[in-house]
Amino acid sequence: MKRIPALILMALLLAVVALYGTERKRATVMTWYLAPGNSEAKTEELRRFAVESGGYISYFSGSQVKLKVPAARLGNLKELLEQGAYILDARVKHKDLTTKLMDLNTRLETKNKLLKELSALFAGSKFHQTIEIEREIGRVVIELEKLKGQIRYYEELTSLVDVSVYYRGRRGRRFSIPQQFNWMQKLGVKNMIRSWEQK
Amino acid sequence: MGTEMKGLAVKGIIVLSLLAFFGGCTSFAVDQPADFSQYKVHSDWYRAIAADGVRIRARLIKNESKGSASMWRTAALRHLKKSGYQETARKEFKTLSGAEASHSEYAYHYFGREFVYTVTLLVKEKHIGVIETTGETKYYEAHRESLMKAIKSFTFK
Repeated sequence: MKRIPALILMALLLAVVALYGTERKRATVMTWYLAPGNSEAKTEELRRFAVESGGYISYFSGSQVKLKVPAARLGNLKELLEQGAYILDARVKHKDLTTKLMDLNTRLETKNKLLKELSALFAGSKFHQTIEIEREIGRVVIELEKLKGQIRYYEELTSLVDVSVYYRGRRGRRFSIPQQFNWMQKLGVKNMIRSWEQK
Repeated sequence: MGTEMKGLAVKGIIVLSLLAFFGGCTSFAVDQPADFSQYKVHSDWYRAIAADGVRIRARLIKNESKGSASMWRTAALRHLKKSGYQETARKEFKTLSGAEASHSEYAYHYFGREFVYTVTLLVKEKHIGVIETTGETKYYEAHRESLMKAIKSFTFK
């Protein structure tokens, strides 16, 4: 009888080791607030980056871009965001999905075993039993597909980072530009094109 | 463009006697690039445009900080980068009149189109010569040589 608590403790210990010994699976959500010099160009750069890095754009408008990017390319994304823009704020949120994925995989394994057993039973069944076993096999197959779909969904959440980029105007105290640098405000494509409209 | 205008453009050295920015004491001259038409003669800026929208603009600025061409180029680069411009090339050269010029080329996205934008800065004592060119990338290449020729012709008067 004394051995029972020790066994429970051992099982718990093994479970903890198994949980933390495996690679952590985390879903990451990042939010960036930028003041870009040229928001149109920034959106175009982000669209190009998403495609080149193996991710994709899930939504974009004049003031917002949402994209999915492989976690390994986050460093490059940060560099890209900093080019030609002020980063006003950045937020990162992680959600640990290791337990969830382990649970789903265990359920998948169990259902696969059950399906094998049912198939073996079906092979040796008598005619009046086949309908019932067939119905049971159908139910297990549906559950299996559902589990596979859920695993795929969570795997994607952990492999691709959910990034939202919001464009904002610059807030707060601006450094005043020395008067002798003022002429630079008139440089650029927009100013050149507009200067043809002025009389 | 009329033959008369074209002839003027090819041979023409257009001398702009400018009233400079603050009180006016100096001016500049720049050759008009081939196939360009000057936009407005009576202005303190020199402006010319080609049929496909490629433009060149030049003016004089008072060099209040007494900065060198290289210093101003770095300042302009910082300003333009923060405005979304990507520097694609840069070079230093001497104009035909022997002035030191600092030239930078940028890529810029505007109204869904790719543009080339260049800015060349020349310094002579109290003045900075600023020459800008721009145009859609697909049209700019055809004018690159004649624009560079015009830039190199810039002379302080």
